[in-house]
Amino acid sequence: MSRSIAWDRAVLILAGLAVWEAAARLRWLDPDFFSPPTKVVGAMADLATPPVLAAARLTATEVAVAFALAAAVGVGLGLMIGLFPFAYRTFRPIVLLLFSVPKMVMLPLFILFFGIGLTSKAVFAFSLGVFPVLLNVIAGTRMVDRTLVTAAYCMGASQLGIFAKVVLPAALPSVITGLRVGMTQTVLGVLLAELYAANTGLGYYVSLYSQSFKPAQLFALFFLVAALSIVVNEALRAIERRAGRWREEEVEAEGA
Amino acid sequence: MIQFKDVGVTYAGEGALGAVEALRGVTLTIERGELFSLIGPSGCGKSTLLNLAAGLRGPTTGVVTVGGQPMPRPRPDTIAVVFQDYSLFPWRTVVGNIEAGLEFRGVPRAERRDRAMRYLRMVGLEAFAGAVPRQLSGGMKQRVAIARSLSLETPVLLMDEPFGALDEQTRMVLGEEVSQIFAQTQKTILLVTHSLAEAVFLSDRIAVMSGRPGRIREVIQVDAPHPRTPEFMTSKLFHDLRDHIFRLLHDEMRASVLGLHRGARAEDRG
Repeated sequence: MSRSIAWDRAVLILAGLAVWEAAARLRWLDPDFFSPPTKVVGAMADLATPPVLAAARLTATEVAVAFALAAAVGVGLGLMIGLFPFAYRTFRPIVLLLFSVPKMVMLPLFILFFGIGLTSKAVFAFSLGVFPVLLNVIAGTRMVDRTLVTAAYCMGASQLGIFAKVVLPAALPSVITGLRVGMTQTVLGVLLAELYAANTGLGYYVSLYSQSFKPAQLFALFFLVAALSIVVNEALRAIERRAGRWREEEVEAEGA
Repeated sequence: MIQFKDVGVTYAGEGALGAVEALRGVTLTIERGELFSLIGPSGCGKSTLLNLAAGLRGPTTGVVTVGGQPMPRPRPDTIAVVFQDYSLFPWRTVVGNIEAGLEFRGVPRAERRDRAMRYLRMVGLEAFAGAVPRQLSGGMKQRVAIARSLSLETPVLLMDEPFGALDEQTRMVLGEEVSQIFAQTQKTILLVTHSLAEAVFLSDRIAVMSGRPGRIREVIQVDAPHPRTPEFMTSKLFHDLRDHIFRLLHDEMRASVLGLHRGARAEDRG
């Protein structure tokens, strides 16, 4: 059954590629906008040049810096807001208001403040990536079963013991869900910022290849970025499933 | 061992409900080594009494002591609690759940595993040591929770409707098992239940409570040796006691279920 589904999928994808190849070769598609898949594969070699590799390294660094910030602030602040009713009442409405602001409008501001280098990209990506982490950590911390806390308290657990051995493990699956969604948002943020204003980075090359009508390189870059994102996301999803195995029902991620 | 002296509890009002008087003038003494049951209609404050003994809340009026000392907070060296919903940590294995209690109590790591396994054997679940709670039936989960409470080796055990979520057959079998274990352990046990059969089968004494505000209507002695066997359940004593409690509870339960209580009690007082 699943074998034949995999087969059907492979056939479908290959058929799609074949139609695309034929359409491009037969000039049904404008060659300025579309390259046949065989040429796209060939163009991947063009990407392995020092400037593009340096751009990829920079983008990776920007993602790493932004994600580390988003994870640290999101988890730290999220635990605080989730654990203390005062913080929850005070800060949660503020977090929700900021969450609903379209961050895109702040990008020009960040570039004005921080220039077109790494800092503005990281800050903008952080502003997108921090919210899924924050909201999932708050939700996960607040969803902890009260009777488990009471039971631990009756068995002599200290406040710290309750936090470390009841609240944290109970919230862990939500924390990881938040980190995963935060990661995709962070990548999105970095690429958006690079598309908007940059002189290097993968987003800059996407913009450069499309403006200089190099569809083969553009598609090659697109497939590489897509493949990398899928690998990272799937790896995080695997960790998420492991951490959440004890949960009886699926819990939807917030702020996805 | 556990003493309630003229205890009253009033919950502060929320919204349109106003203040609720949960308990009034409850005086009870539970002797050392005794299994004492609280039975009554829902909302009669029997769980509140148990929470008072656990140190999870204080009385509005009166005094609660365990071993002669007041209970401003839980005393894990003296009292273990079994809750209705098992309260197992779902991310830990069965044996890990029992070890959790020992961790909180500060038992050295080397000792924990042996002690946990010993109590797991007592409830007949040593084969499931490595399972996670999700894989167990309700009855098995409650046996793990009971093993966890026993492993804390406290002189007092409080049980809040421990078999409430289980089906009739499971609670009967578990009841017999528990009766055997308790006969060995010599603990002072306070059991909250709404099952007449369970109360009579397990208890040395039973307090029958009236509906809100909860008061003690009658304390009934069950004169039969422990551990009790299924034969006890078919004895005349068992049936007489059960019928007696049923008659005591019947009106209370009707009133409580149909929501007539406030009116009915107002008439009583008037």
